[in-house]
Amino acid sequence: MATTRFLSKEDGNLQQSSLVTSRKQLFRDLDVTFAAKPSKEISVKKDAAAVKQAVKNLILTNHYEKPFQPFFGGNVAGLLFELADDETGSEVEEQIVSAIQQYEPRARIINVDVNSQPDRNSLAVTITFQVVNTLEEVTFTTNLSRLR
Amino acid sequence: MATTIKSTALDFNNIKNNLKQYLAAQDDFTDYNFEASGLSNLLDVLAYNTHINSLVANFALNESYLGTAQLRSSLVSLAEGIGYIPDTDTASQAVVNITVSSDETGKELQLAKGTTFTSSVDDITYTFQTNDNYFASDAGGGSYEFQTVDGSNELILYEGTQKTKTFFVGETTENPVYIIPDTKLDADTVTVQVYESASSSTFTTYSNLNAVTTINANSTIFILKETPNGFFEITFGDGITFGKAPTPGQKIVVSYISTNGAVANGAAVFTPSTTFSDGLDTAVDLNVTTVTNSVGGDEKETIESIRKNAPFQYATQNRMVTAADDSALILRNFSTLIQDIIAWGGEDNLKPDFGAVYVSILFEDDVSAATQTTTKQSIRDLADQLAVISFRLEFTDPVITYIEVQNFFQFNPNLTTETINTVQSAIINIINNYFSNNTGGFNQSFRRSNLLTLIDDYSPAVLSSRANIKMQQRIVPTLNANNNFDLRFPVGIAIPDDNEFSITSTPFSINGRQCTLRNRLSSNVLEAVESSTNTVLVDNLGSYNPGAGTISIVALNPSSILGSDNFIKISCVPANQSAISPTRNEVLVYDPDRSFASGVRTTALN
Repeated sequence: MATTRFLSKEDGNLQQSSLVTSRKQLFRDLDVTFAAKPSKEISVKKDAAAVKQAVKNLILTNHYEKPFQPFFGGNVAGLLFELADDETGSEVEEQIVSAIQQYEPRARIINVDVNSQPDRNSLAVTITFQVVNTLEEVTFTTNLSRLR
Repeated sequence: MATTIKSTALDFNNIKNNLKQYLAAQDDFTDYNFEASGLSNLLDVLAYNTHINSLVANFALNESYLGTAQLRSSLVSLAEGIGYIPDTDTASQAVVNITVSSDETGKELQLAKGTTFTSSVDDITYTFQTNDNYFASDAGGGSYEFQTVDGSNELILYEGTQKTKTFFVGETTENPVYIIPDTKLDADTVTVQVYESASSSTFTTYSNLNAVTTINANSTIFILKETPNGFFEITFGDGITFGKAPTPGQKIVVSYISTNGAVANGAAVFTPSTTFSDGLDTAVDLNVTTVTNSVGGDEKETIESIRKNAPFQYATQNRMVTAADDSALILRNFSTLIQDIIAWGGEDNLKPDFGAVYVSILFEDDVSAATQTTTKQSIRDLADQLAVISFRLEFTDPVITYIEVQNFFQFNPNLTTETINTVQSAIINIINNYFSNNTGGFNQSFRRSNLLTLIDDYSPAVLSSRANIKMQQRIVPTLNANNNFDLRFPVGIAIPDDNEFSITSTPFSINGRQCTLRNRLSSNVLEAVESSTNTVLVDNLGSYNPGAGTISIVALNPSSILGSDNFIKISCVPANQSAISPTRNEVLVYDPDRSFASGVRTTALN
């Protein structure tokens, strides 16, 4: 019977499966805007975009909104109805940091900047975070304002 | 790895986890595990929807069966489906005599329905009133006593407030339903009168469907039901085959008593709210004499009672055919007065009596002898209506057999901080509670081992226990006359022993000499023995039959009974002390005066 001998891949056996050289996408999420692609398929958010969407979802969610998880969310909307004083910005910042640390392990916060705009009844929030594992830095700004 | 969604786990988190497991097997999306992701939000919606649907399905299914429904409205509806109308609140009723003394003679007086009286129970004042018109004629010298149309002077006062609802029948619509927005309505007091027009003074009285036995197109019946929100509604026949229906232009007047129920039981003194003047020129006071304190008030039937009674009532089909039908229907109609009831066919009687049904009733403690008599007559009337075949209804009183418990227990004081006296008192309480919870009704047995288990469990310091059990019945002899008694116990009596007496009694006197009754050792013959000298005073007072459990006392001629009671307690040792099971009309009751618990100290640890 003939005998076949093989080298390991590390020893130069290139006849075996090729080495993986491309980085696999870590995070894939639905685009919650449900915008359709030209192919009519649903859009997908990937990697940093997926985490960014999740962070935005998180801080815009109020307590008691998510079923069976009453304390999930940034719960910042309630603060918009409080008197705008020197503490408001830091309170919002604190709540955002706390929510992200508790519910979004993929984001490592670098900076949260809250710009209070009392005359417009709104807060401009800029969050800078790093996506864990990729070291990619993401910054996004969102405006929180009262609807009534 | 799961590739299909499990349908058996319907809790929200389980559903969501199943969806996550499904997604884990797919390559398209990977963020399902992060709670802030869009995918997680989508899973929340899917899981919540499934969760709510499964809950609704679960509730709906549970509420569809008598055995599992939790909402009163569901049980009422299901019970109605099998012809069972749950009891409403019941007004407490008192029986009184009402008289009037007036200078005006020869008058005909009428005490109108709705005349009110007040009475207090536990310092709370309740209103009682008549629910019928009563009449009085001058018995001479201006003395009037009100009577029913049947000539009885025993008038019934109902606790509660008389209320009236008037409906005008409009254009014919399909199935009009008349709502009575009152949760405290007493269904037994509802009267429905249908007037020809809004201004007419003549009316037709309609009857409750429950009270009629035949229905045709001309039957004047109404149907009273509890609505899902606890109110009541009245409907009428269809005017074709199922009784008359009020026609447009007619007026329906519904009157009833809205009652407070059981809290008004026990009212004894009734004071008229106003003076009386109807038929007299000058108002006078009503004189009220209480015949029976108020009894029979009760709350709306509980859901557990509906769950239990509806199937039995359904089985009777509102007809008295079997002995069980009698129990169910009597209990259904007189539940507020009856604590327990048992019925059996004459063929099953101790002395077979074919063609008869025997009924034994334990009335509630506060029901007077007079009310018991009238209730029994009402039961006979009910039987006449509902019996399908001819039979005699025989009432037989419950036979009470008292149980005496002599408890002894081993007690190690080193294992507890309680004293032996405290433990003895606690064990007496345990015995009391055992009998309260397990005996006192028909077919309720005494089991010694169950009692001893409770006693042993009281404290680690109670190492073991035993109990001597005796059965006891009571005789009320006529003093200074020969008395014969035949006693029958639920179980056999211990055979004569050469050391212990199977039969004993409480003391009484014969010719002034204090003695007790007991059996002769090694014999079933009874004798009276002087307590102080142990001398036999009467050597043959009858005998007992161990196998049959009977005692026959002959020619007992006591001159007095010692103690404050007017009866003599005759005690006997059961052949089998471990269990006493009554049959038919026998009931077991605890006698605390002849029972005790006694501890024996020991240093043993187990």
